[in-house]
Amino acid sequence: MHTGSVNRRRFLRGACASAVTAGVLMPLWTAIAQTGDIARAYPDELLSIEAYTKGRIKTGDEISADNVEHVRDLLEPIKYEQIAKLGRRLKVAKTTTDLTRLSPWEYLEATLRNQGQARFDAKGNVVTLEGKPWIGGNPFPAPTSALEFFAGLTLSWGRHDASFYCVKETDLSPAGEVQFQYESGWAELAPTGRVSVIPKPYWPGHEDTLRYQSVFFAAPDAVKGTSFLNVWAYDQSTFPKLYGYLPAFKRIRTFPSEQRFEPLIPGSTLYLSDAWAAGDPLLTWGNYRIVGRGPTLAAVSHGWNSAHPNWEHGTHGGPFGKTFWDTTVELVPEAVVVEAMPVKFPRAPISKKHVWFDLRTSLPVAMVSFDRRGDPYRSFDGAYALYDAPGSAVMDGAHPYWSWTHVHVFDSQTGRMSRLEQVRTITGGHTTSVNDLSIYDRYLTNVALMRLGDS
Amino acid sequence: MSSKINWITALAALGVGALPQLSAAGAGGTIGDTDMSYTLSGLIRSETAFATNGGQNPLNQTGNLYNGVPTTRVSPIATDTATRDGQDYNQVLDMQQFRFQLDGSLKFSPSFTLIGKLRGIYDPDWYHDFDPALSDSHAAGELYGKPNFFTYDVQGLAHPNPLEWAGDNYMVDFPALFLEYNEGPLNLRLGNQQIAWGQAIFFRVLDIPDGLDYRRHSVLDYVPEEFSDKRIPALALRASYQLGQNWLADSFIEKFQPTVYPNPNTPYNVIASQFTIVDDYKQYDSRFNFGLRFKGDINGIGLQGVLARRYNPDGVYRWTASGVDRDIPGLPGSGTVLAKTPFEVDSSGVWSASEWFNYAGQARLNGVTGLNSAVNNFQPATGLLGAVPVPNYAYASQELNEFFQLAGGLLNGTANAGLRGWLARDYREETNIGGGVSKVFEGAPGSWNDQLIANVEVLYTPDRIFTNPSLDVDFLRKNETIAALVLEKYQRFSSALPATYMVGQFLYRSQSDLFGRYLGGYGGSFDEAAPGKTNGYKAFAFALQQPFASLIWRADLAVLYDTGGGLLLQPAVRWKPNGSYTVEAFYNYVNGKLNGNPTNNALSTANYVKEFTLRVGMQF
Repeated sequence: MHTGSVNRRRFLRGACASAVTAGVLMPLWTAIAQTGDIARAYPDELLSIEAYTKGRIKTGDEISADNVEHVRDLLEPIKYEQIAKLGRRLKVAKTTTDLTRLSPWEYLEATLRNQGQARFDAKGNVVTLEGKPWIGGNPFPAPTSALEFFAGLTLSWGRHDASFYCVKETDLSPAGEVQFQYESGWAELAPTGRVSVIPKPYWPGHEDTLRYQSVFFAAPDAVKGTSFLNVWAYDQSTFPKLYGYLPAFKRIRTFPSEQRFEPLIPGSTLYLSDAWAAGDPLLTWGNYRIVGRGPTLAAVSHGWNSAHPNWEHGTHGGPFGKTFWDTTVELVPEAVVVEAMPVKFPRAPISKKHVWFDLRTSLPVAMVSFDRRGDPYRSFDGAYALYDAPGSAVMDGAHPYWSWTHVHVFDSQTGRMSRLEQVRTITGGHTTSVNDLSIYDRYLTNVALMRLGDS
Repeated sequence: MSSKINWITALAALGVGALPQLSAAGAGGTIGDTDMSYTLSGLIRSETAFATNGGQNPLNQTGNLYNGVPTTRVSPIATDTATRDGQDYNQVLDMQQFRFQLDGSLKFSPSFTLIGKLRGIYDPDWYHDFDPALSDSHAAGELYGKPNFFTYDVQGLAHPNPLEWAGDNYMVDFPALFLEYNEGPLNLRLGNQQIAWGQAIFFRVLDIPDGLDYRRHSVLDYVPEEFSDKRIPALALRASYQLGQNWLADSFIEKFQPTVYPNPNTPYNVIASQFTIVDDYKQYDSRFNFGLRFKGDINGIGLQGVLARRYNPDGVYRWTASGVDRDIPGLPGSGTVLAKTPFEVDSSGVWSASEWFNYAGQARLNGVTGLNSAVNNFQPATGLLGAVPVPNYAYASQELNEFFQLAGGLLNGTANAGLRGWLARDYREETNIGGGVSKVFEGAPGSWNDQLIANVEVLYTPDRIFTNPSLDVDFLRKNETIAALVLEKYQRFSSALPATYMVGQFLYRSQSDLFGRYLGGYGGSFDEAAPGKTNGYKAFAFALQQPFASLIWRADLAVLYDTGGGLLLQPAVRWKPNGSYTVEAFYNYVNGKLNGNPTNNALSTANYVKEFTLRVGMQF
């Protein structure tokens, strides 16, 4: 049996390696391939918060300003400040070792089936060994470079072939007061890299398109009807086509799409660039490199609030108890911190971003962006869950639905917070759906924008 | 089977059926659409425009340029001086309105939704209004006494807009009330609705389906809203169909609804108040407009084409018999003859030839041919009154002064009235054929041509019918071409500020100005009949929006330059402190006298506008 200190030394040796070698006790993906469970890849101290903190923090405890110092090295800097100074609290859950609870089933299956078939073409786009668009799943499940983390993430954000999220957003002032509340719908549809819906892996005739994505606002009245449609080319060196419907103009117009660091609606700190920590085409960012590695605390499970009929979450913290979502985190045994720079955005307010990837799944669990001076600027921390709880479940077809559940977008320099949550339904009778191809006609065409634009 | 996925398939066999399901898993896993649902939201808002220059609209009685100005009148029968009294008032307020809006939808099923929007406007009339009693005016017609702010007066029609109810100080209407059906790529809308086409903003090249409602704040409203509050809704069936990935087909058939102009003696009146307008829309209220549009993309080039058959909502004007039996003072019985001409004796009419030509110029009409057509089209009545056609300005001036002297009571030794002119507003059908091309350019990141959008739109209308500058019953028929170039860009000038949105536009119209007035009536003045304007109408527009952090504040600037010497400038600020409140403040500066004769540009019609507007709204 390996001692804790021996395991730490092995882990740190791996962290210093130029290539990413995951797993301490055995290669991570060997463990995953054999059993679907990561337990055999990591020692107890990386699977148990009790072991890691030597009993100072236990499963079921709450991390608060009183004890955050024990886990400071497991938190990105802005989250640490939120806990230490702003009243944020995190509930601690047991580390998930069953990989099927950390990603959609079909996506995971396709990842394993297609492993080893991905490469970069001359332009830098991910293709199969035959040079065709990617065929589904994570093309680089055992990443060997920083770029491979982002390549896999950019190819598939939500890891479903078609997703429609009902979203409620609350924007708070630096004083912690609720200033704005919005209800919106966000649709994503993958015509390539499909893992679940027929036809797959490609939608014939759409092989040159990576993604159809739209966002529209259903409430309040001031923004109702505003909607945007992005059509992402498969070539990640080009900007998406952007169509927008503004109620003031009452018609669909083409918009420039390279300004992706702008607030979309009053009060919001969310940018288009923030989506899934990879909201821009892969090749519009560059200088990808790994800048950190180690365990982290992240909300990769338990994010779904099945007790609420609309899946809404409780809040706490800040001056009025409304600033932060009630969040459950677990010890993630290995996270890789990848840095990227917005090379095609010369006057972006951001000089770089750091994204924490859960090495087991290559999912982004946190992001911190830095301003032009290199100071921390904004953080983006999300929560995920398998929508499966004792006595209730949401299915995506044959399997429980896996998805994001809530996210914090925090401007650490102004203190403004935008918090978003995925809910079951929003104003207008829209309902969250997954792998339903009818979302294309309902949300992802110009006719759809006109209809969503209302009167 | 690969060992890699053995455990997954094994778990799959175990997993399905072991987990309870919230809803039946349909094809693809839709979690479950809601049953009937409804939405309701709205806003209330105060809109105030403060005049910063006295606010006198020269097209109103109280702003008439000849009020209190002794004007010499030379005619074959006398030479005298008349001083018009239209009650010369300065205004502090150009506008005070209170607005209430309610937006709702009722979703019956995923395919059927009822959508409605209710709008209510109230104007408390806090202005220094024209009072006809003070000028001893007895002008015939509902709108020619004390100002009526909202009634759209059409002979024989109680509700020219079927879903609108309006009176002196209020209007209530449904800008939208329609049933929507959506199935796959097909979308249908049946009911009262507004339809907008085209990429150009404000320059309505392809935006042909709807007329405009100028009654509230004319074209002087908050520029970023464009015409969203102005489009006249119509009962229509609209069908849109997504053809594949890149193409959209859009069509409509709608009940014809005309543009509605402000009423006389209201702050933003655009028709000289010495005219009485008889709107003949009743003859056309069961007519229909049709339109078809295709819009798509081929290899990164945006294309669109439109074809429509419609009634031009602006309408066309001509002289019409007044039907007002009111004697010329000192000529008993003359009223029955005068009633068969386009004229009415009244103190609110024109008092002198100088005023006649001045206002003909402002209306983009020809004062000489206008007199001749009134004389010729209404024989023998005009002949019985001694009117004859004239060859030039000098003769016209003399004849007109004679008419005005008699109407003012020369035979009784007074000079206290003039003649009102009666016009009929008619409508004519036309065919519109148009198209557009757009492209998004790519350049070096951050450069001016990176993500620059260029758009060209052209509309051709063969045999468009125009008001004859003579107001003759024979309207003019001309082929018209309208074209616009639009350039749009977001540009970040600093990493500290969000990107600035900018749009620049150029407009060319071959036969008419920005408001549809025929260019042949341009250039007139108090001492010259309109020579007309050649080489078309040209205008430039530029607008920019600069948001600040979190979009709480935003600054806007809009500039419209008419190459004939007109300028409209609107700097604006928008403040949205929270979800409930919005404050918009903007200043309208119009100068129609930048160079030479102001009747050579379109904007001089609003030259009096120098106003600060404040809108404070609350959403709920």
